[in-house]
Amino acid sequence: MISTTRMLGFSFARRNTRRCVLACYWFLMLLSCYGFQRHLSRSGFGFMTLNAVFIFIVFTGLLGGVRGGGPVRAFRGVRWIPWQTEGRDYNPLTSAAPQSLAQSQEDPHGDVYAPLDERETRERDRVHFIAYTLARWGTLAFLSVYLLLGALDVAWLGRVGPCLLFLLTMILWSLPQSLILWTEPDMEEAQ
Amino acid sequence: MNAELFLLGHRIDMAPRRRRRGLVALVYALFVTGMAGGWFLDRWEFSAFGLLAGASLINHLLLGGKYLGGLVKPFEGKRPALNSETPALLFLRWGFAGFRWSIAGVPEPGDREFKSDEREQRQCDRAHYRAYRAMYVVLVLLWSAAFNLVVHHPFLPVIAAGQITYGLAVLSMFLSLTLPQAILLWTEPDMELEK
Repeated sequence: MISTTRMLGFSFARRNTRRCVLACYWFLMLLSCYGFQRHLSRSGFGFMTLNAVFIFIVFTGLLGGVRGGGPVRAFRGVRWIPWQTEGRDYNPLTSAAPQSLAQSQEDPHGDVYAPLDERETRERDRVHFIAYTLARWGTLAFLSVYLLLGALDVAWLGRVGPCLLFLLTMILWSLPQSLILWTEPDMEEAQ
Repeated sequence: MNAELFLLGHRIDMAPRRRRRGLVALVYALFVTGMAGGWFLDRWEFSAFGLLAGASLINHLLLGGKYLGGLVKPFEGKRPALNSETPALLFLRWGFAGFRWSIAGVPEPGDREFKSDEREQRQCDRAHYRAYRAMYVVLVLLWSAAFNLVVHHPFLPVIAAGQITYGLAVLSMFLSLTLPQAILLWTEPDMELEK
């Protein structure tokens, strides 16, 4: 599931590296949530706020999964990514998928365009099952917090509601990829 | 997945796919009717909670997935741990189970009622993957509806944009509770043919 292609000069073969990157990513997400709430309390729910939401939804693609080019290989396979135009004619059915790190480094396209094999597909589905279950419980927890704050003071509902929805969106868009990055063992060990 | 549905003490054969699809269509038609009724009743203020409680009841009686009962076996594949809970929770759970069995006429569950085999487990995972992708779209729709809060749409003069967002939130919660089961019931082929 982990791409063997280097991204921004990083190799994601080591689990420690992945966990560090993931920690930074979620720290940034929490910061963005704080910024969102701050902006919301100052300027209200405006055009810029919504733009920021959609920018952050695109930003979750950095982890891969929902699209190609990230450390997690694309869940549905990908034919084209914007900054690698030379890969447009790459056909995953006729080209062999790289089997090792060394092999993938020789391949200029890496494994970005290669479809998932059966084991990876099963793992992808399993991770989505876990993510779905976690997200459902998370949503219930958020709803409880929301209702509790509303019971304390009705004014909190308008203030906290969009922020909780923003956090939930970010979690939903990044949770399966985060689970894969966190749990997948070192690639050398796996091989 | 169970081939029979127990309802009011009767066994209903749900092996043909068209019947299962009919059931899924009925559930969502009921939800749409409930949403429309809730809108006219109280603009979904309290009726939304009724709809979500209804989703839980539908899972218990018809769709399954989350609990014993319904067509889809529990996703976790575990027998409910009745003995390991506090007496108050145990009392509530037994009370609800008794209510469900009296309504649905479900017999005492055996091991086959809740344990999925490897193929069923794989299908369950695939259904959750598809449902998760649908939830991506619903969330984007939710934020797009919120967009109407700031850019008022000329075609939406009657329904306030905030209420559209609220309605979409209710829809997304209902879908999150029922969509994986609905996908499984919709896609599973006729059971006789498979045998």
